[in-house]
Amino acid sequence: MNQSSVSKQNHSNQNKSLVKRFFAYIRKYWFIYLLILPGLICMIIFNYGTMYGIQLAFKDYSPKRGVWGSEWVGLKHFKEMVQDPNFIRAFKNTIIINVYKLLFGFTFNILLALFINEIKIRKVKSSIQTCVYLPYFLSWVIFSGLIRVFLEYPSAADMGGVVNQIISKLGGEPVDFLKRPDLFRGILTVTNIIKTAGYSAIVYFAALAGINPTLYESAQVDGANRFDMMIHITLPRILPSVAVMLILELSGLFISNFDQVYNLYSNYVLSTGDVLSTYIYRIGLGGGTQFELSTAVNLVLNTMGLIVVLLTNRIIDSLDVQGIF
Amino acid sequence: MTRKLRKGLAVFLGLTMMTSVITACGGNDEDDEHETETQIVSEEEKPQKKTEDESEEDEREHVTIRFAQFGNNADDIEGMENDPVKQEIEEKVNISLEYDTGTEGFDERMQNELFTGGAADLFPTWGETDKLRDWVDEELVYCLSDIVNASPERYPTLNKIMHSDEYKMYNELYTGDAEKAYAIYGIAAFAEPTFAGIPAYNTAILEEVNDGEVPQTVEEFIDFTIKCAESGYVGWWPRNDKLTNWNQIDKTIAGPQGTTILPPKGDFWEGFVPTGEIGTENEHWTLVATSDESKEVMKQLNEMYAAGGLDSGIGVKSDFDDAYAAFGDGRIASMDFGFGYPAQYKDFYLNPWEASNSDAKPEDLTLGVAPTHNGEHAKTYTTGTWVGSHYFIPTNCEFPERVLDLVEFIASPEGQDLMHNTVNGEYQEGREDYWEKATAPYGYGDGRCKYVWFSYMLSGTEYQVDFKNNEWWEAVSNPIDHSSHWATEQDVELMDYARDIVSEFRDDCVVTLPAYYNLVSLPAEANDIRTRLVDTTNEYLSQMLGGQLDIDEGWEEYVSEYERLGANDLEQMVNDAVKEARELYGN
Amino acid sequence: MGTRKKSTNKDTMLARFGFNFYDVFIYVFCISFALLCVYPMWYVLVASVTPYEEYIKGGLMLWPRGGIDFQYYKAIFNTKSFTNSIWISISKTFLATTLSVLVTSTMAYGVSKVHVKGMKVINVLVVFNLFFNGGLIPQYMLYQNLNLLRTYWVMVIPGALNITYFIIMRNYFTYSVPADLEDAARLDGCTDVGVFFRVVIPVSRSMIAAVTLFIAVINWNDYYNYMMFISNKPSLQPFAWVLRRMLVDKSMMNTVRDGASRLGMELPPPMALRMATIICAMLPIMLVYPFLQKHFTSGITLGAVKE
Repeated sequence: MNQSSVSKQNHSNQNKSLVKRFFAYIRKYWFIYLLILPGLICMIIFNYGTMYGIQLAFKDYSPKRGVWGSEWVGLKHFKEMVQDPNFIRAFKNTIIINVYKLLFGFTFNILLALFINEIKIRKVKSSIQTCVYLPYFLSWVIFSGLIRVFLEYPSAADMGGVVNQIISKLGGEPVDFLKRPDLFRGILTVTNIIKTAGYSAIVYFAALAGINPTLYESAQVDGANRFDMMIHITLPRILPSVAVMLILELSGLFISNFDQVYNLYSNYVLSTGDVLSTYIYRIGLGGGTQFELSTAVNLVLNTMGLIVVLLTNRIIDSLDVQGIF
Repeated sequence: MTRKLRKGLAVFLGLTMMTSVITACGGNDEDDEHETETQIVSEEEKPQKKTEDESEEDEREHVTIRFAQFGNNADDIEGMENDPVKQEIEEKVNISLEYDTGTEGFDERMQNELFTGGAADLFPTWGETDKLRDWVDEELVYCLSDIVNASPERYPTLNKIMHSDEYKMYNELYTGDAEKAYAIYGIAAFAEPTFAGIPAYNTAILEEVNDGEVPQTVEEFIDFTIKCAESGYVGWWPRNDKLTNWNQIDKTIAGPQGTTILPPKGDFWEGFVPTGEIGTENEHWTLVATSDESKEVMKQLNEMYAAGGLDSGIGVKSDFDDAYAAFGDGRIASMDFGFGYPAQYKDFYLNPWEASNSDAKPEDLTLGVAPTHNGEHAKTYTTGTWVGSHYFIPTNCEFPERVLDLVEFIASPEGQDLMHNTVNGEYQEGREDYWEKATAPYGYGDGRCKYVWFSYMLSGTEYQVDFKNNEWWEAVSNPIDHSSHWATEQDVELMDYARDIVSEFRDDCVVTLPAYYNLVSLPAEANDIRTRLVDTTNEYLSQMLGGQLDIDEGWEEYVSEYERLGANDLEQMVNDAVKEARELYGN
Repeated sequence: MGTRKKSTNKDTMLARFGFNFYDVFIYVFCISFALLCVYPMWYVLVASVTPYEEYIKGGLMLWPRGGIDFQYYKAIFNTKSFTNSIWISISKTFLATTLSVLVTSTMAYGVSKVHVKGMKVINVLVVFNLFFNGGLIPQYMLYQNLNLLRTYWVMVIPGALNITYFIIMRNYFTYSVPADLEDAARLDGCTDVGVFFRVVIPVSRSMIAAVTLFIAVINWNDYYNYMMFISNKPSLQPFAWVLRRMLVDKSMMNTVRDGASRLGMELPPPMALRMATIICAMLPIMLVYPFLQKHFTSGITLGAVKE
């Protein structure tokens, strides 16, 4: 009896002091809290505010009743989604394109970094760097404009884009690049490499700069050639960065580049080029009015993406590099 | 890490719930307010309105009305600000007008905005029964006749229109209630029947390649285009910008062969071919997009494409401008210019041709004929009336009465006069550049005296309508055409030329359907099926045309895709709906 | 065979300068990729000032043939909605970037102080948004409720907290601002406020400058917000959208061409106008590019990777 009353008193005292301590704590760090306040407000309104609409994925939207009042329909829209061949197609395309980008783009980035690093004439090296970083800063609208100009198919009336002019000069048949479903993914991959390879290589430059030059000197004394040095000295040194980049890349497996595809695709290549982001756009705002389906698809993708990210982040943690969380 | 995550997840859930509740409350409050507001309005409207009307009309508040209309150009900001007609309307109705327009995805945007509570104060859609019923059920649009009936003296013209029998018939068709008008209908009769599929030729190329002979049959036309390609020209540009508009290709090549490659889009009979006598019980409409005949047509098209007869640029570059430029430069031999309107031939001569050739003469172009196959022309089915876009006032608009004031003004003789009357009207005198200023900003710099704002509203043909001396139906089916007043000598020459040529085969091409075809209404599922079929067609035909998909291999897939998406059901629905309409309105 | 001989010859010649085949390969590879990256831009620049009769002849266009001609630029700058969109882009880039940098950097600094309670949780909450969001439709509805749709501000306010750069700046504050410096300042009697303004900001000035440039480039290139949430309001369209329309939509092109013909110019070919527009869109980025490059090569923007 006695004991319990004492503990109760203790408890309330604790509560009081907790509140007190809380305010004291806030007062102590008021400036830090003040600093994060604008960002916090933005985040709550613009990022968490949209989460309210996620319920659309489980409802039949009725404008009269509003989002909140609309009727729950369970997993109806998810079933719809799974049965929609266009969704399946977009999903497949997204994964395939991302795998291409991973296989070719990712390795290319590393190679580019290693090769540029091998260039010893400073001026040449820095001018090459200047050139390869540049495309990254142009928007996909601009870049797709360039691509269209270059890949244009010749007609009876004009000579087509530069690429086809070269092909014809070499005696080949001109290729109608942007209309060929079998080439479209390749075009996406290659143009993505041109646009981002230089920029992506920067990560490796940072790691390469940290390698101790004496390592190379002693290897040279041992009679190793440049190629051996690249394989045995340089490559292992940048492996951690490679691992991190690989994981970051993997975490975007379900993310498709709306800008790139939207600015390049057409009816001809929907079968291989329609990706999830363009699909969501088309059924939601760009021509369709399937609000619920669009939201449901987004929810599924986000969830899957998040799972991948959490997994990869865990791996990054174990690699002893700083993750994103 | 896991603890961090768990903690984060908990806080996240809490936050989401909190924001949900906050936003939900906000949203609900708003909705509630809105509902009560409209209720109050409808209850208190009458007494308020009367006192208002009695006291002083000029005291009506100044509002900004966002008006949406399909398909004009709004890039000339300065020109729009200085548009004298717009200024005059604003002054007369005491409003500010904000103009909203677009082409691609415009209809869908209107619906999206409506569904999320942000629709324009006066906006259009093409008439689809299900859509309209849905909107009425969801209380998304105002019942316009209720507002008009509450103060008929404020809206005399609208009051007259809405009480005509034909208007009520359309009410019944669209919403099932003859007394409730939710829309300003845009319906009109055609002055001249329109049809597609008549290529216009560059005369010089025609002389060079074909000795000046105009191809008469489909086969001759295809040969001609391929010969052009061999002589270094593009044979034909069929006005298919984004590979979604197959109409010209269809009417030129497929139509004469008794089939159509079109998907079911637009008018419900598009994509169908009738058998049996139309208007009787024997008639049957068949969806032929996937028929063997259509397959043959696609093979012909693919051959043309491969041989360079068809412009290879269709669908990927924005070939509308490029094609016009190329035609103007004499690199394209033949081109479809749109519909069978003589006026459109004139526009076609002016825009791509005269614009890029300073020494242009009318003889430079030759208008061809609608090609035949075994002596048959492509058939174009029409009811003779044009169901244009209907205009609505959304319930998210706070001042529907003021918007109706605007509509009333446009419908009144004064408003119609302001918008259309040019030669005899008072507006032209001493203000030579007036119409140029009023129309040029929207891409109609040709000095034609037809105003572009609101021109779709009330009249489907964009001509002046006289509601004062006519009943509604009579007025919209006999619009006043001013075009002969303002046409130049050359314009008249061009239009007469086109009219002459077209008149030779017009009656072979145009089949007039009974009037009740306008009243055929398809069930809701039909529209879903149609949308999906249209997408399927666009995709398959694009690939087959360009050779990305082998036609023999792909066709079976195309057919089964059609079946899977419910093509057979759609055919059944169409025939049932036609039968129902025939029985209901046939006599 | 002859080529082979030549190359071995070259090899020995190059070897004198410390080169070997391996070097040649690397140089050729890197230089050709670098050319691949910049040549398209050069081509467009040349094409945009080449008279059409010359352009249409084709070829690689290494240098303007037939004289330099700025008529296409004259044609596009004659169009009011064109110049208007440039102002819109400049002003929105300025406002959105300023707001974004202020909000993001202050928050990143606050959250980097992990010893302060709540910051770890807030950090997770922020980063979570990088991977999880309501999607387009909920976003659209939210903006509708906030009355942001069809307003200028929808291009400025919602992006205030840039999560990618939040992570980068947070990592910078955590790892690259020496903690000793802050502690020393505190020992000297500085408060948190003092530390922030007198130590942290001066130390991270160059990082903030870099991030500002990056965010500015993003804002300049952005048309997505206009396309989704404004849709069609020529008085508000940003330059990136005008560019897109010039590339794919006929109405914008018609406006420019009509304007040109009213000026009494010969009707300019669409392709040439497109090239000129592309150059105009690239110009501001080219102007800041030297600064951009200076900053990002030092690696500060890549805080995601700790060595």
